[in-house]
Amino acid sequence: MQPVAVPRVAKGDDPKVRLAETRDALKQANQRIEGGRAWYEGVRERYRGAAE
Amino acid sequence: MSVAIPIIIRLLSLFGIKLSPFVAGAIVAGVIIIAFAGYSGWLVHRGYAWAGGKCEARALQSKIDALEADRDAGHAALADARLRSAGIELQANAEREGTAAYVEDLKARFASACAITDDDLRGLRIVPRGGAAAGSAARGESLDAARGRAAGRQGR
Repeated sequence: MQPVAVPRVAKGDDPKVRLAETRDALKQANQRIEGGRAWYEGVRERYRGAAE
Repeated sequence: MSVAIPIIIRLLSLFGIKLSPFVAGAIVAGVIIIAFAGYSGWLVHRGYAWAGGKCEARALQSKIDALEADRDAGHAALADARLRSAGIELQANAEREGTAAYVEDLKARFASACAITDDDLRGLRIVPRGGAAAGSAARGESLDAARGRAAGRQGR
């Protein structure tokens, strides 16, 4: 669940390159959020199973 | 009881106390009742202590079970988190490699697009500083012709 490093954009950069890097970062951030949510659901399920 | 009463009467008569068999019997009965009550009290206390100990042991066992379950769940969660983060990292690396290849491709395309050679200028009209009306352009001269003329001049 660590934050993803945001690609820095500077004047004169190739926009296509920066777009690709930003898309990568966004994809990774989404995967981390989804992974964190699934992990938390797993923990909850384990405790629910143990309680029943 | 029947043995105890004459013994008590005899013992107390040694100290100068004379008791009727009824009183001696009452004393014996009292002693027996007090002993029984004391024993009962002790038994009740012992029973409570035993039950309390058992209850405490069960509570402790339950606490230990809960802690063990917590520990197991923690281990499982840690393993799950490691597995997930490894998968995400693997996918991110693949994405990064794809992006790096894309960037290289972009650079190559950019370089080839900007690498303008003389061939790219073939067929273009030469326009002198004075404008299109002046110079070679006015004569409708092409780059190749101008270059040929320039080479001829140098040869002379």
